[in-house]
Amino acid sequence: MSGKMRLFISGIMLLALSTLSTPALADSAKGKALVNDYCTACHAQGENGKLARISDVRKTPEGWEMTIFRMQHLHGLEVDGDERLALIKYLSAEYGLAPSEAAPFRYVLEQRSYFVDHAPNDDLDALCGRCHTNARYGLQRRTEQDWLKHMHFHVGQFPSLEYQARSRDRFWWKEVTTKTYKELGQLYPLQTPEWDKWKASEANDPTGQWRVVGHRPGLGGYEGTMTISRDGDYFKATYNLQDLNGSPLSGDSKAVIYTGYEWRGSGLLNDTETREVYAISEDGRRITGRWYESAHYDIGGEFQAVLIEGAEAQVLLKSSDYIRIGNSKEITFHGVGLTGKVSTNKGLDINVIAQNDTSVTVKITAAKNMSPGAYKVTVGQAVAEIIVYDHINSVQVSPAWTIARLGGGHTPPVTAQFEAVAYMKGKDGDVKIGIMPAQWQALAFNEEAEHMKDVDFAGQLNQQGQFMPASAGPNPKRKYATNNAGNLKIVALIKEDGKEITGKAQLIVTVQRWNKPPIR
Amino acid sequence: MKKIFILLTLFWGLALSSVASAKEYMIVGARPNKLFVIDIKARKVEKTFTIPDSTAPQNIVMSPDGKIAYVGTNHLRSIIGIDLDSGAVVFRADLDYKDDERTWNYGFDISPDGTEIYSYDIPTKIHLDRYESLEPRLSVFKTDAGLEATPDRSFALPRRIHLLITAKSGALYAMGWDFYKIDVQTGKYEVVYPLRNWTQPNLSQPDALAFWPSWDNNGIFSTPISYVRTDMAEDNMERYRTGLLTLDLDTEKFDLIDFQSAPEVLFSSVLHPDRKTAYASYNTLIKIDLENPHTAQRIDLDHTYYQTEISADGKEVYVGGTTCDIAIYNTDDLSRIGEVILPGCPDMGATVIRMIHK
Ligand code: HEC
Ligand code: HEC
Repeated sequence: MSGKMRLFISGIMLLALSTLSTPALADSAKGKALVNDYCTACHAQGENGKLARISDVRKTPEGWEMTIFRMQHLHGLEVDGDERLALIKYLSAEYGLAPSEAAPFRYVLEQRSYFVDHAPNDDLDALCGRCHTNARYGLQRRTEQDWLKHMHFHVGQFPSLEYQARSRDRFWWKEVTTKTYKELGQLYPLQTPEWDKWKASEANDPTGQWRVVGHRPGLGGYEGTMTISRDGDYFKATYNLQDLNGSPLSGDSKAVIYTGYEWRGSGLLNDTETREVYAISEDGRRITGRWYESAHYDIGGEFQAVLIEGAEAQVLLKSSDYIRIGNSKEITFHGVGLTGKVSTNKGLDINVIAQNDTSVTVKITAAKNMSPGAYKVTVGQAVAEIIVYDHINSVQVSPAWTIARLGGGHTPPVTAQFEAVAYMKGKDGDVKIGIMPAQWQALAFNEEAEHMKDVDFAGQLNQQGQFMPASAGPNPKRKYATNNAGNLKIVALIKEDGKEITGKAQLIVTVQRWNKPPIR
Repeated sequence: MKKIFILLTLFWGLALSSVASAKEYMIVGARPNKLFVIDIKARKVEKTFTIPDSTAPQNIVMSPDGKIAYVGTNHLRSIIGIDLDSGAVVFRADLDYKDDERTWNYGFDISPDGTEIYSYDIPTKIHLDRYESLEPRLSVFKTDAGLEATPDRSFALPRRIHLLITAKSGALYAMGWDFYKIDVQTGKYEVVYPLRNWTQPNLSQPDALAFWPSWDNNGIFSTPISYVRTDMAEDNMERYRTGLLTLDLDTEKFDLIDFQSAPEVLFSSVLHPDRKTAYASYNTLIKIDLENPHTAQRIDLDHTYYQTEISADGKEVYVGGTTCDIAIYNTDDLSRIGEVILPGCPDMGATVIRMIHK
């Protein structure tokens, strides 16, 4: 009973969207046949060929995965893994989201442990965003009537909903059944020009050579190339990457492309199993997203790839973003089409050390008398910016607030990764210099945390800014025998000319998540 | 006023003397299907029953003669009556008695004569491809309806009710957004104590989620309730207040006793039979002075407990729920004086504690 009345736990859902084991995927005709075989028993087909409920909604592959899981779990639908994948592929193609519709909420598809969830307004955040992300419904489109039916599902399935905090103080049911469902129908309608256009467009062919850059929080950048080839109904990506110190990061993956742009891959990078959640741009020339370790969704990398053939000259990654006045340093620009002439604004002195199509290494010197600010470096048509600074004025820890989760049993801990971002004084407030190495320290956030000795129990912070939480479960050594949760202040310290500049963040170390739905 | 006071004292005098000869028992459930009868003064589990077809017992309601325990279980979908002498199931209402409906129970109580059970039901109609949440209702079951009991009558009620209480007069009270009084014959209800729309000067809308019966040994319902003093500065922590909301089950009078600013979560409370003090718990156990309302004492508990109960003689305060132990404290100084560990250490979860005399 009460607030502790657990949310219905839909079991541990594995991210099955990119499973390697599946042989050939059914083509669209087979997907349609499966829907007819399996769904029409309960979802009647109308004269226009439309299926009740099914034709009234659109969602991401993960959204369809959750719905089908529920049809199995609650309503007794029986399908095997191959069929499930074929159904998801078919439904995502017929009733998916346009790239621009999914764009604002990709953070949740990308399984980030830290993100800022967007709610259209505070009311929706309280009505809906308190149980799951606002992205969960932001990534769906429905008719007004179907949004209303979905409200009935919520209270029908989770009657405790109206009793929980942030529902108790309002007439939740009255609000969602008189107002909110209409608002959702306006905000997230079934029919949109974006979707009509996307559905009618030709599919892009992603096969070919791609220039890849990325960033692993705490570890830094990486770059290289990727080759995509076709592999039956799947695509295969072969990676030839390295980090900025030159250590290789190589491997390959196999992926399904849903809805013409939603890349979901499984692979190996340096022998670690990975998952990939990428989006191919509408023009088919760029792939962006995130990959993560299949056993640790919190650990992974930002990913960006540009199709090399026909690409405009561009810088995609710099080995460093900044230089201090009076200093010299080597900086490498990674990108495509970098064979042009290297030049820069006055004051910065540049010598090319090495140059080819995909990288330029230069020695940069920032003259003593130049003024701080952003300076352009051009390589032919490609433009990059280097920040020249004199003094660090402040340090901000990013993220400024986040959570980590205790590990235990079969659940690995969820780490938190912090980075120290240095700022200099600018005309209108501080100007970002870039990420810098720092000394890291965890302290009690407040008196209560001090009293409960959270620093001693909650986990360890290493000097790369990564926090590794302790294990879960009641700890008899703690007051009230509570678990190892904690409330910490994370401090990054950077020294410059003997001066210490610090930045801080808040870290809440909390319990494990019991269910891991594909869309939180 | 004075008259009522004398009457009250008289009543308690009577009540106490009548139980003096009977032995006091505590009834408590545990996951997935256990019901325990505890000789609490002896710190001993006297009987253990297995409830057939049960998941996690939650609410427990005793027949007025203390013979039958009606247990809400099965994910809030069944009410099962168990004879505490024989262990036999003598009553069973599975609320999903209609094929296309699924119904949850969010509170039930029994008439003073033991012939009727009042259940607050939340039904959902299951269509082929959608759910339809129906209006919550009061279902009245006859306690002699046997093992496939269906309601004798039912009436629509407001949403979000979480506690039903029958007063000594037989009037049915329900706590939800507001406190309602319900006529169990006609289903007519009225707001008798507004909460969501209360008109307490300078107090914000209150928050209370009371599930715990706390009136067995004192004749009075009570629950911690929190609200904000809107006339105090935003940065003044004193503005976050905790009070006790009470309903006297004889006089049917409500009272709100403000006793502290709220540095702590409190889940349940119980008044001493003399009504001069009260006790409330969660991570802490506190003793509340009701004559000069304030928190007189506070101790840390060794883990979280949900329900607070008291012995009929007012000497012992019990905390239970959550795990498998009931901790016992002296009502005078909150010193620890004992405990009962349920055999096999099953989780009590959100099951309630009832006190009876036999
Ligand atoms: C009490 C918590 C709670 C609240 C409040 C809540 N939801 Fe949900 N919602 C859930 C749960 C749990 C699920 C997962 C259901 C399942 O198992 O598929 C869910 C699922 C969903 C889904 C995905 C369903 C699918 O299969 O595609 C959408 C969309 C959604 N909710 C929208 C909303 C909206 C809109 C609101 C606010 C009006 C809301 N939710 C409020 C708990 C909640
Ligand atoms: C045995 C009956 C049954 C079968 C078979 C079934 N469903 Fe459902 N479906 C339901 C019920 C009942 C609901 C309403 C409750 C709910 O949302 O879970 C529903 C709701 C839905 C919804 C709307 C809810 C939402 O969150 O989007 C969709 C879409 C859906 N089903 C898709 C499917 C698909 C696709 C299949 C076949 C692969 C399928 N269903 C098979 C019974 C069924």
